[in-house]
Parts: sequence; structure tokens; C-alpha cells
Amino acid sequence: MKRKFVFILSFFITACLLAGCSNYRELRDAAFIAGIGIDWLKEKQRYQITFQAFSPSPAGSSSSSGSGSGPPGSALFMAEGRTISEAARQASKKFSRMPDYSHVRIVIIGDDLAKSESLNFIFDVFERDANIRANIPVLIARGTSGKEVLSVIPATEHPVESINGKVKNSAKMQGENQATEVYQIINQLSSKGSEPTIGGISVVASKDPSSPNKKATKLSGMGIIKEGKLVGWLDGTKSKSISFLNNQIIQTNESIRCDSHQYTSVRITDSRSKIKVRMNSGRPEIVIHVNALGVLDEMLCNRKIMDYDVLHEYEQKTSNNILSHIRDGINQAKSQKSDIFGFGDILHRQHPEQWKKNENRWNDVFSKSKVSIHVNFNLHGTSMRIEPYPYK
Amino acid sequence: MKKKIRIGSLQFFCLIFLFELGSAVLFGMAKEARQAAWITIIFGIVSGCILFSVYLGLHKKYPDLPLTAYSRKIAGKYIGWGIGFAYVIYFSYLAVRVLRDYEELLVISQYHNTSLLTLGLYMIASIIYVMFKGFEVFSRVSQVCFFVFLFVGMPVIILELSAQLLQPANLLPVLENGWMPVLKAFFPSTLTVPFGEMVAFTMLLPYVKDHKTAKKIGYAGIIVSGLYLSFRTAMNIAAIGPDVRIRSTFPILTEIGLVEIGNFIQRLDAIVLVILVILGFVKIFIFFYCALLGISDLFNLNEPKKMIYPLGILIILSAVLVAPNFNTHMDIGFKIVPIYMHLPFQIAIPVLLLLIAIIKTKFKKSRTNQST
Repeated sequence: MKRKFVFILSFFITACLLAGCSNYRELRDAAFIAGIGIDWLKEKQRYQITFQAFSPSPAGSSSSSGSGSGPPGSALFMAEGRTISEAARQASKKFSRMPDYSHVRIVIIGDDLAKSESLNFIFDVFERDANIRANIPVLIARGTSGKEVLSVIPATEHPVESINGKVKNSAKMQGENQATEVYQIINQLSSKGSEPTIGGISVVASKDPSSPNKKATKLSGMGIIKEGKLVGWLDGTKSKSISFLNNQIIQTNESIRCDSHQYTSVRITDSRSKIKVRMNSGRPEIVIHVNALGVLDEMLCNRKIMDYDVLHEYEQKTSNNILSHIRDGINQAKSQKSDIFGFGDILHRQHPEQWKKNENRWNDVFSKSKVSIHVNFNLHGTSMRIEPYPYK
Repeated sequence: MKKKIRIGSLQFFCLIFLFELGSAVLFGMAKEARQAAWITIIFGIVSGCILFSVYLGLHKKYPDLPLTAYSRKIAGKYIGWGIGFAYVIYFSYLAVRVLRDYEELLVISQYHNTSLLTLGLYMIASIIYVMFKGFEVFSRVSQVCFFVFLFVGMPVIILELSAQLLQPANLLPVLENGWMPVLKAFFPSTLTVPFGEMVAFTMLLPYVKDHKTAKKIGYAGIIVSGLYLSFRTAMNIAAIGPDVRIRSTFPILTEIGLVEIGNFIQRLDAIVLVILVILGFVKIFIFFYCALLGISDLFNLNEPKKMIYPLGILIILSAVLVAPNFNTHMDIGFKIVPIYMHLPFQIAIPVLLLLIAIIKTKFKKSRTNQST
């Protein structure tokens, strides 16, 4: 009996002890970092890190009290350091709470850092640290700094959520701006057969009167990286080429001319690409087949869409549109000598022995490549109406 | 004597399965073979079966004795005792190594500020507790663990598939540098860990019902666990690519860390960590128990349980002292241990013992033939 009692007692005592307080952190002492901006201070030769945290609002005060009174809790602070980790520790001098990096949602790289310094090393901490994730989207602050981008405070949302939402929506709706995640960038930086592209974000004047600091952020283009440095931008429809070739298109929209000055819109709902790369007398031959499917979703001119010929003409025009996006994108990549589409990796997969001979000068070889693109677009519907309404 | 310990065939299978997965899942196998890693593991299965047939051959000759006992019968009293003692040291050292692996895993991934000693203490405390309950209890525990593994491990695979993490393109090109890297990755590292580590079962085979069951279940266990490892490795490569795999300390955690479904299902590391700790528990237990069996056999102890505490404390302390840091620990584990420890203990000595045993029986037979 006594033995049993001792056993049960020791059970409770050890249960209390084992639950433990090692590595514990109180929620009220923690600040969850949502976004990190990384800039390069040339004069000081240091990284400047901007942290945008979810600011914990004091109990009782509702943070969503209305527009004009500022957005729901965000707190911005900055620190400098020779490494990103050093800066993160330095930040403790300026911020009262323990930063927690496990919920970082976005990383923004300053223009200067991307252009003049190399991106090669800065992602190491994201891979090495066990708390921070490697699947965080990265953006480049186009023409500005990470600090500027993160300090733009929208009226209704948390700044980081606002940026994140834009990235996700734009990728889904339009396919021009893709979110490149840290681990993908690392893979592409370390691969000889591909270079990363990183989406750009710029700060523009806001027309929204409720915006607290009259500024807004806007996604713009995809940055072309070569050997760790930002060398150019793919803008507008050209940047769709990346999504088309990487099969990342979820939806996008093509405007095709239907008479002298009016356009018809086609929504692309599905697109699959097949790429073949092989070497032919020292030049890579790249053959691209794209199969796309879509519906007509807006018609601004009066044509007999029931006619097979008209339908076929639209299909043809849409195909040509897609083809020109891809061609323009590839041409720019070729002129920048940066294989952002990963054709080298495809050659590596398809013809390893040919890749071996060219892997060390792939970017030069790639710039001489011969590209043939075949697009097959099928229109599979015209939505809720067949013919447009007749107008006088 | 003590009552005879008996384990069922399903329990035996679970033991082999969890034991084989052990640290192989944790560190990722045959990283140097890049995309062909899964082929290397298939080779490993074949060679593992061949090695196991050697252990089975020894078991057939001495169905009731562990390795440390029949080594004395085969190689003579003194040499055999020496061999047995070397095996005790080998098993305890492997227990130490696996314990250290798991301590490091926990410190690196979650418990950043906890000391190795503390974590080792908890692990060994639970092992010692089960050990006092006896091996039969452990084999039943391993059966439970196996089902926990199934119910937690399989959903993780499904989640990974539904997160669209796997890119089959990562698996290509296979064998771009020919067969050499595959063979290099196979010998000695894939051969010895985990397939050669089945040598621990030479101590445990006497607990299995009869030789036939040991044979059937043993091969099944090796093949099933090997195929699972091969499949999981291919998945790992498809998810994170061969380059990241080589760079990362724990490829499986890197892989799981990328799972994100709808901003909602994410951070599955903790779940996988639970599985990894279970696997570690089984593996450390088996090595620890083999060392204990060896000691009690070599020194003819009446009460082998008395040796549990000293051995446990020794293992906890050596796990901290065995290497100054993680990188040295890994370096020793991948460069020195396979060649100087695994090869002799897993292949050379058992093969030699079997050869001597076969020659001896032949010799005896001819002598009896002559006398009649």
C-alpha cells in the first residue's frame, strides 16, 4: 500500500518536472516577425535589417476600430549588422519583446543589395535556422529599399499581409508575378543550369485617401538574377513567359484584337508546356510545346462566334499572343545571358553527356540558342452567352 | 535458469522494421549517389539479405545461443570470449552513437537551449524502465510503435503528395556519372547502415520461436523496410532535390518543413520528430539490450538486470563525450566507423565464424565416419 502511494506520488512529481520550463516562452513576451527587409548599407558595409512585426495590441483596445486610426497592429524596427543574425540580435536593443521568426511571411531584398552585392550568401540563415522556414516568398524592392517597402502601411491590413496577398492573387489571377520561395532561389543559385527570377515590388503614391502615409506597394515585373546579382527586369506580359514555361499558370487573360481598335478577352484556364533541349553543333536547340485551354470571357466587337472560322481565328490569335510572350521573355533572357527558365537543367536531365561539355559556360551557350515555340490553344467555350448582344 | 523469453512473429517483424528505419531515415541514405540513391538502397536490400543468411546460418547451428555464446563454442574459449567482449563494446558504442544522433536531432531542431545530457537522460530513463519490464514487454511496445508509425507516417506521405511538393523532374538524370557513385555510396555506408546492423539480431534470434520463423520474418522485415526506405528516399529526392539533400543535416525535416497546404496545414516537423524519436528509442534499446545480454553471458551473471544502471549511465555519459561537436560526430560516423567497426563486426567476424563452424562440423563428421 505504502509502496503504491510512493509510486503514485513520484508519478505526479515527475509529471510536473518533466513538463518542464526549459525553452519556454511566454506569448506576452514574444513578438512574431512577419516580414524581413534586407538592405545593404554601402558606406558602413553592413546589412540593414528591417523587421515588420505583428504588434500585440494591449488587451481591451480593439485594433480594428476603423479606418484612419491606423491599421491593425504592426511594429517596425531596424537594426544593422555584418550578418543577418547579428542584426537580429542587435534589434533587441530597440525592441522590448523576444522576436520569433517562425512566422516570417515575406522577405524583401533592397535594390542596392540585389544589384551591387551578391545574393548568394544571404539566404543561408533561412536554410540553416531550424525555426525560420525555407518556403517564404522573396521579393526585390524595385528602385527602393526593403525598409521603404515594409514601412508602407496600408489602411486596413497588416503591411506584410497586404504584400503577401498581392503576390498570391497576382500569381493566381494573372501569372505575371510569381512568388519565388527561398528554397527555390537557393536551388537555382546553386544550379549551373538555371538562374532565379525574383518578383519586384515598388512603392508608388497612393490615391487612396484613407492610406496613412500616402504610399502604396505594387508588384512590378520579375527580376532577372545572374550569378547572384540583379541584372534586369522582365516586365509586363513578358514575365508571363516564366509562368507558361514552368507550368505555373493557374489563370491568366489574353486580349486579342478583333477589329480595328477593339479587343476580345480570353481567359486561359489551363496550360501545359513540354520543353525539349538538345545540343546541335554547339548551339542548344530548344523546342517548346505549349498546350493551353481557355474560354472567351469578354467580347467587345460583333462577330459571329458560332462560326468555326471566327473561333479558329481567335484560337490562332491567342496562340500567337502566348507565343510572343514566351518569345519575348526568352529573347530578353538571352540578351542578359541568364538562363532563368532552367533550360540547362532540362538539358542536364535529357542529355547528361551533352550537358557535361557545356555546363561551365552554360549562360554563354544559352545566349546562342535556337528556340522554336509551338503553341496550341483551344477555346472550349464562350461562357454564359454565345453571340454578343446586338447593338445599333 | 530464468524463464524462456519468446517473441511472436509480428513482434519480430516490427522490431526489424523499426530498427532498420532508425537512423537511416534521420540522416538520409546514400546522399552521394544523388538521384540514384534509391537504387543504392535496393542493392542494400540484396546484400542485407545475404548478410542475414550468414547470421541465420550461425543461428541454425546454435538455435538457443546468442552470438557471444556460440563464438566461444566455435573459436575456442579464450578467443571466443574476446570476440564476444568486442561485440559487447561494439553494441554499446552503437547505442552511444545512436543516442548522440537523437540528442543532436532534438537540440538542432527544437530544444535549442537544452543540454545533450538532459535529453539523453530522458531517453535512457525510459529505455531502462522498459528494460526492467523485460524484453517481451519491449517487443510488444515495438508493435504499438509500429502502428503509431503507420498511422502517423502514412498521412504525412499523403499530405506531402497533396501539397504538390514532389517534382518528379528532380529524380532525373539517373546515373549520369555511371555506376561508380552508386557503388561508392553502397560500400561501405549503405551496406553497413542499416542493413549490416542486423548483426544485433544475432543476439536476439534465440528469442524467436523457431529457425523457420526467424528466416521467413527476418527476410520479410529486411525487404519491407528496405523497400520503404528506398521509396522514402526517392520521395525525399523528388521533394528537395539531390543538392539540398547533400547539404542538409536532416533531409527528412527539410522535406517536411516545406509542406504547406492552404496556409493551414504546416509545420509538420513536430509530428515527424515524434516518429524519429520512436525509431531512435527502438534502435538504442536494441543495441543497449544486446550489450547487456553479452555482458551477462560473458560474465555468467545470475542477475543481469543489475548491469542495466551502470551500462545506462555509461551510455549517457559517453554519448556526450564521444565527440566534441556534431560535425566531428558525423565525420567519425561516416568515415571511420563503417570501415574500422562495421565491416569487421558485421561481415568479417560472422563470416569467419560461420566458415569455422562449417569446417568443424565437416571435420567431426568425417572423424565419426572413420571411427564407425
